[in-house]
Amino acid sequence: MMAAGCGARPAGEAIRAWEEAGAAYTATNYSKAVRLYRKAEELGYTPGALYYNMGNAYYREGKLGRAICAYRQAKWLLPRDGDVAANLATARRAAKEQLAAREMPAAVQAFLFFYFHVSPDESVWLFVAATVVLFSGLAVQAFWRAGVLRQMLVIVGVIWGVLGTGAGIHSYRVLWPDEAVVVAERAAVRAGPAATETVLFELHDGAEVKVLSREGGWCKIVAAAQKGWIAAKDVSMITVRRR
Amino acid sequence: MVKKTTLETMAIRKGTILAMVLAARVLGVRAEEVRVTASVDRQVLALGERLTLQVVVSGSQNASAPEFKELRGMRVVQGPATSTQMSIVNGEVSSSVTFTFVLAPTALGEQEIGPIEVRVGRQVYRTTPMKIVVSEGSQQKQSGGEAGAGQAVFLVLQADRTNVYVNEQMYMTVTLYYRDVQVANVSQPQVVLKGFDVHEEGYHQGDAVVNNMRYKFVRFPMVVFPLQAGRQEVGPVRMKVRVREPVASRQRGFFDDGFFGGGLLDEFFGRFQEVEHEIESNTMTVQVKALPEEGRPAGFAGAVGQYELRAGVEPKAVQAGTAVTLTAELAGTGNVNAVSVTLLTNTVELRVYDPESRREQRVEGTRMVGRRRYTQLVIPLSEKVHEIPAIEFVYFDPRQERYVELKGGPFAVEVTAVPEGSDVRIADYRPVKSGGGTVKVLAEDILGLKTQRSVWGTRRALDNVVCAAGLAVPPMVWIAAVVIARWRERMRTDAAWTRRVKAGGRLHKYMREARAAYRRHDHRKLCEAVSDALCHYIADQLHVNAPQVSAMTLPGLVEGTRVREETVRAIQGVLEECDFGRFGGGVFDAAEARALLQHAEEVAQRLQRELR
Repeated sequence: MMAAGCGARPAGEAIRAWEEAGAAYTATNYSKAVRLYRKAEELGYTPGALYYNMGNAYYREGKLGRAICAYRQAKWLLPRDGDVAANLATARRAAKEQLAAREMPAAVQAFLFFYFHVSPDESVWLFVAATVVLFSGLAVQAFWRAGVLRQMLVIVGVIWGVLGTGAGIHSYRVLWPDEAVVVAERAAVRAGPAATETVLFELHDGAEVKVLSREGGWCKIVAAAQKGWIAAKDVSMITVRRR
Repeated sequence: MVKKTTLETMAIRKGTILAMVLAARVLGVRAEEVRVTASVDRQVLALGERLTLQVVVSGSQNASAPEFKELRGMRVVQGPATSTQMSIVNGEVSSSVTFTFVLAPTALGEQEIGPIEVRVGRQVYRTTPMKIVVSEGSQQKQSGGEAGAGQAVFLVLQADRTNVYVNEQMYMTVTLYYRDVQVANVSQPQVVLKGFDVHEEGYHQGDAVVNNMRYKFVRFPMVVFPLQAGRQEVGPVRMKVRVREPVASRQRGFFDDGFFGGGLLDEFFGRFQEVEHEIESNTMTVQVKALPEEGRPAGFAGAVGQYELRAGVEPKAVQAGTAVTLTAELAGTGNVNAVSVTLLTNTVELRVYDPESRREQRVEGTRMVGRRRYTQLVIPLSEKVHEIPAIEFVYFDPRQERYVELKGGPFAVEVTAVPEGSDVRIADYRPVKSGGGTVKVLAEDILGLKTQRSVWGTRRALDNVVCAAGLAVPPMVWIAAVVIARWRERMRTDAAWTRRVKAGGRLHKYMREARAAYRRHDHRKLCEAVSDALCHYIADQLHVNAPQVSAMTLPGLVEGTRVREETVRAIQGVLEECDFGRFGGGVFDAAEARALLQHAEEVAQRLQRELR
């Protein structure tokens, strides 16, 4: 069911773009590789490997912010992949500002231990599977009231609750992304949403920030506990593409 | 009688105060120091108007009556009326005595009250003189405008200093003062300080004397850090305040006069309205000095304040390729969230991992303090490593007006070689020889492309129909199962309900048999089937035995139901006709049989509508 539900087969054109992008990368034509990976993404081919490869192409091109953004997207989809984690760490080390990523409280992390090891898709499918098991069990219990079944359903119910919370958080973050990466070489963070406002501080390519709100072509961000407004064109949201 | 009651009340009050004093002495609570303040309820008034002067002696109740050393252009009309207060809060005794005078102006122009002298024990306390302006016309209450000039409500922006360095902390307060009005709701002030990093810190309330007038206040403190050098204009800060004001346009009645206390009635009957006012504070100029270029160390990253750095390494003896932990703690006064210690970086002989850091920051008194703890794993790659290098932190101390360099380390460590034949592997690093063994190292570079094409994974789960179905269908199946299980359970346990449920089905079954009998010209069977259909339907609906139902018993059985009389008569007619055909030897021709069948179907339909 997990495999069956993961979506349609990629179209031939998207696969061609993916393969041509790999060839362009091998030939050190990184800008062409990026363009072709973007094309594959536009055509609906969006596995984690695509974002990982795109991150590599951006990294080689010297676009650190874009690379970190692509690696973060890949990490969402491939949370247990060591290559993604290694390349993301390498790219982060190269960034001028190594701003700590936002972390959940320890108690929440303990409760949702699996959350950090599954992708949003996996999280939703696990929840679907738990829903099928739980409600099937409840349906059986309607006709067959056995004590053992009741105890099993309590356990399944708790697991269903935990998985549901995880899937909810994942889905929320997919639907309303609030993390971004600075993609401009140098970006001024201002006191208000206008180019005439006072510059509070500057961020550089690759700085990871949290977006609080948007207004016109400006994003209100917080970076290392400091708030300010940054031009929307200077940041790239970390989000996975949906169709 | 009245006098006696008053004397009793006074005796009780004195007794209570005496008991509190004794209790305070027994419990060893602390007394506060003596303070004498004087305040008036207005600073501008007209001839013929009166003002109230209060002299409050706090910290003692053994004060002599106040003595006016100067009272120019004013006379005492009434007073002093004396009231005492005493309370013990958290072991602190708070006692005060208040002398209230009513004064009336005797001359126009600027007049002066005081100084006023009060003797407490052997000590004489003196208040500062107060200026009062006496005009000819009546004065109106004002709000807003210049701070402290006798308004009912005003906002004041203050700072502990106005000449600071970039990133040096300032303690600022926005204080709302009000008197003679009821403030129903105070919103957080809109503090937009361009060029400052602002940390707001809640609020607190209290009483204060401003310009010799007693006010209540709500204070919003904040710690701010200027981010840019130069002359910075701060404020005005704006705030919305909801003030309870009497409803102006209303008919005043008999009970609204002073005797019945119009204000009390207003309060009781809710004749007040809340009016929202936006008030703004004063502005101030802050001179922000740039940090000096002279003597600025290379590692300076903008930290300003006073800091301490502590650091250490554990364990101090390891084998090459094994990690030691470097811990560092930076603590002090300043914007700790915005500063960082220069930790270790990779070298040929040291593999350094990203540090973990924790930080905490809070306001103590008027200063922002905090601490930042770092933990960093460091792997010596060779036995030639004898020390872990020092870590550094540079800050500018605005008190001393100089840069301060802090160092933690270097830390001596004893690194032993990897034994012959051993092979220690560390990710992302280059190979280094250590003793007889090797520490395997990979270059610091990104890993290669992923070439395996993903067959699936092109559509997100949230957009997948199977996923939506997987979430929606199981609950529906469960609900259906519960409904079916309950249905079955009732069918098993509730015979009357079960018969009612099945009654319609049985009726249709018998009517089908009747139609089949008609088609076979078996008129006897037709009569049997029609009779069974009606009798069984009625018996099932009323939960009685079918043989009990007959043309004769029918009226009694359906009594109290919704079956109408003409329907009963029609059923009786059909049943009698059927009985005639079954038992009376009656013979029907085809037309009569068809008429009987049609009549029976019509009656059955009516019966189904009326008897459910």
